[in-house]
Amino acid sequence: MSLSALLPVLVILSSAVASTLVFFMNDEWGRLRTTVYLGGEVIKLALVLVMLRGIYLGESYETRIPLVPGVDFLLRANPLAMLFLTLSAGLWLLTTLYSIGYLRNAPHRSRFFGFFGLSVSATAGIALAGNPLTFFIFYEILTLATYPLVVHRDTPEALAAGYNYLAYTLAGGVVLLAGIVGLHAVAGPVEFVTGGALEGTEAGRGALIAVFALLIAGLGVKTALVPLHSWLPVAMVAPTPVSALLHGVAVVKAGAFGVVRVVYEVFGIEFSRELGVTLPLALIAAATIIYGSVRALSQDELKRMLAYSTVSQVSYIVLGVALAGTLDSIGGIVHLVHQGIMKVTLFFCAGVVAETLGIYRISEMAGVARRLPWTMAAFAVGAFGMMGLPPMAGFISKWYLGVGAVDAGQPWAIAVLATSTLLNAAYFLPVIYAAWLKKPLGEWKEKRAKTRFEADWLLLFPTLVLALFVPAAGLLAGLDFSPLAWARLIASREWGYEIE
Amino acid sequence: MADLQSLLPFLAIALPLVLAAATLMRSPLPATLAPLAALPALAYTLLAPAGANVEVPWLLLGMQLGLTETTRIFLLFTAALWLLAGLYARSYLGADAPARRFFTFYLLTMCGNLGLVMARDVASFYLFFSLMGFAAYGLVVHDGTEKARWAGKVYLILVLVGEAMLLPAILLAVAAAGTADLAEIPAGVAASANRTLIVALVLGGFGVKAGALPLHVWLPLAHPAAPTPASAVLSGAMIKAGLLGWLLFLPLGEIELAGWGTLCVAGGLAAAFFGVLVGLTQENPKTILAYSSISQMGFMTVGLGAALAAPQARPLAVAAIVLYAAHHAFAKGALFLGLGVSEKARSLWARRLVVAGLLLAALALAGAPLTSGAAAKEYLKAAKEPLPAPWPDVLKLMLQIGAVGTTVLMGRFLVSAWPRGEGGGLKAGLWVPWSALLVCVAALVLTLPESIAETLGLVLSFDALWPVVVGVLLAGVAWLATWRRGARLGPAIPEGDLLIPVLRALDGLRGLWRGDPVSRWRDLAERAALSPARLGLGYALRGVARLESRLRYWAVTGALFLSLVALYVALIAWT
Repeated sequence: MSLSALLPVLVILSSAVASTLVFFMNDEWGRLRTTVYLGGEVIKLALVLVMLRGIYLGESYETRIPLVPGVDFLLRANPLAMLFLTLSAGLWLLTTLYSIGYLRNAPHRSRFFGFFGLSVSATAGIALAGNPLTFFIFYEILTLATYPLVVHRDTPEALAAGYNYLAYTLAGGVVLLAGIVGLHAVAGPVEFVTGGALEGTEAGRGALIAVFALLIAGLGVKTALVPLHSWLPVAMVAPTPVSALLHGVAVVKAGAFGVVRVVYEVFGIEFSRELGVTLPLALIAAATIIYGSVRALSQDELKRMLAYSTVSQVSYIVLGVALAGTLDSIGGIVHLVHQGIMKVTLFFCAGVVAETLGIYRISEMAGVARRLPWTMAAFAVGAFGMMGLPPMAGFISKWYLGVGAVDAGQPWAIAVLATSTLLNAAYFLPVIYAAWLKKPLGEWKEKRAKTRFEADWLLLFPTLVLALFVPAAGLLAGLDFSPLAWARLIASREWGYEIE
Repeated sequence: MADLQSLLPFLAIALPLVLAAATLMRSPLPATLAPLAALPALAYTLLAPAGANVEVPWLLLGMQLGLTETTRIFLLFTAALWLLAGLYARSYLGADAPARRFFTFYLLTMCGNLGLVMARDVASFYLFFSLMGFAAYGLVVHDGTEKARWAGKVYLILVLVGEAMLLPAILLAVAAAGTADLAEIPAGVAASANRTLIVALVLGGFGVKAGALPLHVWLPLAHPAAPTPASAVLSGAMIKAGLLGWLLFLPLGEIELAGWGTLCVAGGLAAAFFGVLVGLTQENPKTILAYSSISQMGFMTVGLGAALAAPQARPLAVAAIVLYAAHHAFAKGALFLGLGVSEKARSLWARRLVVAGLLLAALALAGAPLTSGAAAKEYLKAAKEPLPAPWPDVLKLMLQIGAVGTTVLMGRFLVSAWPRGEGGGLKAGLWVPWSALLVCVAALVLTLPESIAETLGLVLSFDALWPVVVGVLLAGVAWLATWRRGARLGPAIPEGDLLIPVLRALDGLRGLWRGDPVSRWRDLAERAALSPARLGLGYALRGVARLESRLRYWAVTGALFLSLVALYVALIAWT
């Protein structure tokens, strides 16, 4: 096996092996665990960067293992895979550092880090999967590996949320599997290929639409499309790093990423449009965008508000893909990265506030910025990004989505974007206002011993570093290695769009 | 890229940002240097080659900065005003911690305002426009009083309303033009299938900043709330950003839009008179100036309407708007800054000089002969000529009546701002920037492109004279009749005029937003039930309240959701 066939496997194994080793460690072996774990991460990130460079230069990486005749286990790196892979590997590193700070002296740390690493390994598998079956395998591993994280606190509330989570995601998995089987039945073995695998298929229109609907419904659970979204706000009882993982790095992203794969590389965008399935999908996405934001308005619990915000924002990705134009598809996939950066920043901030001052509700946040100015500045940056204000990352997404929607002949989507901007402002600005301009309600209830920084440095610094990426991804969008540039590369190289 | 001319615009943007970051430190130095951050922009207005843009492809979506003949003048008065108001603010506010915070926002807002004038691509324009809009919130709420917070809240909500219109507008415009280059936008909009929508959104979105009726309500709240130098830049420079937005995004000179043109002319005239009438009922000199700004922006909107209605009127109309904007920026800035000087003037001579200065600025604003105001009004009249038959004459008369109104309003302002000799003496940090601005007011008329003889002809016409004379007479009568006794003319209209009844109407509905709709309905029901005659209504309302409490969880969100779905379906059916 050559190195190029080995790299995709190594990327997945690097985190999986490190995580498995962590399971065998006692909770007290902090130093050893951190070394092994971070070692695995650094190796993984290095491998990802090697592959990223290779893909940019036009090389290909493929691992193919026949399972049964006609069905292969296939890992293949292409620009789209690398977008998701790099995001998850990069955010994993920051999230891990944050988790170490978050879980200082908490029980079950080995269990936590083990499953956390497995989740990220599964995400890498999802990113690299070259056919629907491989995708499905990792998709289910992700479900199982995240469950122990959701219930990590072992409280009745957490267990109930975990049960709810499993019920939704496993059901979604079953539907997805049905879709994949259906796909196999109507079109034979299918791989994710540029331009769509179903080109020239002779299958009936009705069957194809049914397969599409099954696939999207299955993926829609993790993507949190309305009305399949209810698990996400409930699952926010999980520890904050897990929320970050669910919302920004792995779970909802896996769903959205799957939608991109299905629309672009299974059905093909032209074929999907001919089938007439893109407009309904766009409508569902639009409805989800508005609905999530409307629900976020009336939340008092900060993390629950952020969860509804995720419901809304992840559907930007789906909307961009489903509008079926050039620029909006770029806006959709670049939002995969942008939403991840922004939402993880916001969750990190919520975690800092909760872990430092024991504050979980917006109504208790008056004057928090006096005690945690850097954290709340990062929160403001993330919130402005969510509102899509320039020069934040979210603005770039919105720009491409909006201009692309008009180009694709669907200007109604701009109304959705504008409404969403207003709603985002309506639920984020009161938080910023309370934190910065209101007077504190009373003495702070410090949860941890004070340090020379405003909060535990392992909580604070990953937050601030990530917050820097929010304006950077927007301001430097024109650079060759910005998320936007990579999304444009995908659109031009993979999807054959002409971009000036 | 390396030469000075192409570095200047970036320096003009970076310097305020760097200084703004530096104000977060404890040192008073950055706040002291803050006003000077406007100098690179000022230098750029003098040195920039016309039409040569500087491009940085890796910044945002490919940032382009440069100047056109129009924006050069915008940049000139914008930068000059920020510089002088900043110098003034240094003395006005001191250098303690709140003042440093003031300068943080001052610099950010300045960066936005200068940047949007220099931006030559849509994304950068939007970036700087948003930066200015949001950062100015910090200026409005600076005092931290209840009143300032309220003004800030109204301002912020209107900024967001503006953003919600602007975002679709620019996205549609860019899609229509096929490029983000600002120079291509008007032609693109003219040819767009969504032209009507874009024009409406642009008028509304920028109308918030420009103080167009009925989006003006933040102006009379924000101006008195903000510190005086902030009010000066707010009224002098920032509201012109809305005007510039109109000039850049509307298809002026490309296509005849008679309907929109008429709407702008009518709306502009309405604002011109509305501003004067409501302004006359006000007591606070800063509120009077705010209403005067609404009124003056109305005149500029009339010019915009002319250009929309008749493409051939565009060159004259744009020239008139630009001159009017520069004239108003200096005159209104001088009036605001003079207000702070007037409060401090104690000795007799100081008071006389202050009155003389205020009088000069007020006369310029009223358009008295020999002032820039007279020239601006003449330009505006000339821009009407290409319009169809009754318009030029009607508009001429309207503008003259408007000038009468402005004169009376300035009279009202002078009465309320009259130095009473109670202050602690003049500080050089206040009167020197103010005097410099007065020099700008006086000298603007000398910079016109016409020859001296032509200029004299422009500014010495009888047309310019009689409205001011009539206005002065009317103001004199008003002074004798009411103002002298400290009484008010007309009914007491609260600052924010239209906002107040609208808010009262919305108050009942507000429970739907975040509060508790059930208890609100129940309150209503109980109040209604107090009167036996309304017993039936009370029962009905109580029933509604009970129903509401049962339905609230899904009724509000569900109905909203369903109606949105219905809306989208309808939209699709329509498109």
